[in-house]
Amino acid sequence: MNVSDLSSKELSDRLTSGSLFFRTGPFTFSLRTDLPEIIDAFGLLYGDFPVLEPGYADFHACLERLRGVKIWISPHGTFLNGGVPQFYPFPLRTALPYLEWGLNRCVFRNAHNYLMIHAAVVERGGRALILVGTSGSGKSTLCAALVLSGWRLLSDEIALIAPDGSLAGLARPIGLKAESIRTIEEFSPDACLGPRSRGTSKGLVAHMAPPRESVLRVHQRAKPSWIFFVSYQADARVAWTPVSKAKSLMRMADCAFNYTLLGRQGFETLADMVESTRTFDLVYGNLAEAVDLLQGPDLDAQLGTQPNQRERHNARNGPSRRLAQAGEDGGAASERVDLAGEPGSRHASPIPAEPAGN
Amino acid sequence: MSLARVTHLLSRLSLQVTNLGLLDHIPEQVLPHLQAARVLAEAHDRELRWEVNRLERALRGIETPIVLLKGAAYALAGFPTAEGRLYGDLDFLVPKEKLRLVEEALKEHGWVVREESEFREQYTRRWLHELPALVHNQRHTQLDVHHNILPHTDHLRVDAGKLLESALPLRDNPRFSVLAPTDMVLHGAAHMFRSGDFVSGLRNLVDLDDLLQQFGREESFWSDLLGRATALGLRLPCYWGLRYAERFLETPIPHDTKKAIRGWKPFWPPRFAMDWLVERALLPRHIDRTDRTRDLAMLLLSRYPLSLFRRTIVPKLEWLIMRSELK
Repeated sequence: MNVSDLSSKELSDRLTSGSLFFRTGPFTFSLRTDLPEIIDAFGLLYGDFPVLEPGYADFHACLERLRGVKIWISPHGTFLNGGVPQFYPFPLRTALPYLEWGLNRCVFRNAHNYLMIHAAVVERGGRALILVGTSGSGKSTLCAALVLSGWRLLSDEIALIAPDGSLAGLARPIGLKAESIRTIEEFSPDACLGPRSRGTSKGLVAHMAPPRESVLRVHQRAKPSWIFFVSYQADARVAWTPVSKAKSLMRMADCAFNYTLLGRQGFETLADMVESTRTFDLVYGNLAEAVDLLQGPDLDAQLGTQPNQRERHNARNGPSRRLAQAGEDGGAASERVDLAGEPGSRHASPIPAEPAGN
Repeated sequence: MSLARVTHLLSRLSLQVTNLGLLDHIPEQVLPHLQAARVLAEAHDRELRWEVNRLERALRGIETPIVLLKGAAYALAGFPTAEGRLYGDLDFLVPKEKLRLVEEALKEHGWVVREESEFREQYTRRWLHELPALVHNQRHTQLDVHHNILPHTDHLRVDAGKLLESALPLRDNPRFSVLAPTDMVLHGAAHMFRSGDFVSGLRNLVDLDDLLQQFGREESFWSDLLGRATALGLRLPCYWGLRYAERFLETPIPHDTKKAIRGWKPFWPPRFAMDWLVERALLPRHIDRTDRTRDLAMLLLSRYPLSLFRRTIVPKLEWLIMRSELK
C-alpha cells in the first residue's frame, strides 16, 4: 500500500496519531504531526511511497506546533527525532521545508554505516552520476531536470555510499530554491511541485515529488561512474574540465557529512570511489544545454577522451587552448582543458551547443 | 533503540551487545544502527585523545597540575565506563590561580571564547566554576576549564585545593591526573544533583553506577566515600547519587553504607519532590512527541538547589551597577 492509496481522512488520522510508517530506501520513518496544513502537501510529495504497518521504525520524526505565550504572536514549530528537537523553532509557514531538512538530518546524523556526502545522485543503466555542489550551485536544479528526463533519482541531498562502494538511494523529494522553481516548471510540464514556502533560511523553497519509477526502484543500488562538481553561472555555455583524482578526493571529503568520523574506512571508501569514476568540473548557464550533454546515449564518449589523450592536447595546444573540438580525436566529442588563470574564458568557449547524438 | 539514542547510550549498548556475543539475537533492521553507533563511539574516542594531545602541547610551558574530569578522565584512565561512551566537550580542572596563564596559553594555540553576550561571559567568569567555553577555531572542539566543581552561586562550598591535592597522575601520561576515586564519584553526583545536568541524565547515572561498581570492590572505598562526602560538604548530592543509582540501576551498595547515609536523608517534602522529578527527567516517556513533563522536570532540577536570587538576580544587579559605574 502506498501513501496515495490512503484517503485524505485516513492519511490525516495516521499522521496525527503517529501511526504513519513509511519507507524511503533503507530507512523506515514514523511520522507524527499536529499541523493539518502539511498533510495535503505530504500526500502529494510522498504519494508513491510504501506505507508500512505501525511497528519498527529507524527514526521517529515529529513535526509539532510549539506551545507558549510567545507563540500566540507568531506561531512556531519544531522538528523532533526520537522526541529531541533537531532545529531551533521555526515559523510554522516554513514547516514543510523543515520536514524535509529534518528527515535528511535524521539520516546524516545517524547512518554512519554509510559514508555520506552532500551530493545529488541519479542513475541510468546501473551507473550513477554524482552531482556535487554547494548551496546555489545549481546542483538540485540539474538533478531535478535529469530526473525529469529519464534518469532515476537516488537522492537529491545525501549520497549514501555503502562500504562495498555501491550507492544506496532514498528517492525523496528534491528541494528547489527561488528561480530554480520557475526554471524547472518551464523545463518540463511533468514536474510535480509541492506548495511554496516563503521566508525560510534559504528564501523561497519548493519541493518536487520524485517520479513514481524512482520510488519503486529505490532498492536497486547503483555503481558510481561519474562525479561532477557543478556550478551554475548565468549565461555561461556548458563546459566541463577533468579534475584530478587527488583534488576530487579532497573536494568530496569537504562535502562529506561523516568523512572524518569514519576514519580510515572513510578514506578508503572515498578513494576507491574517486579512483573508479571520471571526475569533472561542470559549468552551465542553460539547463537544457547541460541536460543535453549528460543525456546523450554514450556519456563517456560525449565527455571525451581518455586522460592520456587529454595530456596530448595539453602538450600540443598549450594550457590556454580551451577546447579540443569534436572529431579531433577520431570521434571523441569534445573536451575542455584547464582554464585556470583565464577569467571569463568559459563564456567564450565554443563548445557545441548540440553534442553529437542529439 | 530510539530511547538509547536519545539518552546517548546507543554506542554503549552496541558494544555491550557485541561483547556479550548477542549480535545473533538482534533483529536485522537494528544491526546497521548498532554498527553506526560503534563507528561513532570510535570516532569520539579518537577525537578525545587527539584533543588531550593538543591540550598537552598547548600547556607545555606552564607549571600546573591538569586534572581531567568526567568523560576525559574515564577514557584516559581506561575505565570500563569509557567503553562506548560519547563525549561532548573536554573538561579539566586547574588551580584557580593558574586560570589566567592557562587561558592565555590556550588562546595562543587557537582556542577562542564563544559567548553570545558580554553579560554571559562576565557571569560565567564571576559566578560559575569554570571559564567561558573555549572553542578551537579550526577543530570546533570545546574545552571547559574548571577551577572548582560547583558554581559560586551554590551555597555548598567545595575546597578545590583538597581535590587537586589527592588527584592521581595517570600511569602512562603523568602530565595529566584524574580525581581520586571518591572525588570522582562525588563530582559525578554533584554534577547531576547540584548543577542539575539531566540532558544526558541517564548516561550520567550509568557513569556513576559503573564507577561505584568498579571502585566498590575495594572494601575501604565505601567508608572513604562517606568520609570524603562529609569533608567536602557534599553529603546531600552523595545521598541522591547513591539513592538513584540503586533505585534505577540496582547498583550494589553495602548494607552498612546504606545505614550510614540514612541520616543524610532530607526531610520528606523535598525528597518526594526529588523522586518525582528525577524519575521523569531520566527517561523520556515518548519518542514521537515533546515530553513536556520531562522538560519541566529538567528545568526544575537545573534550578532546584540554587535559589533564583543567588543565581540570577544578584549577578544581574551586580552587572548593571558595574556597567553604570564604568560609564
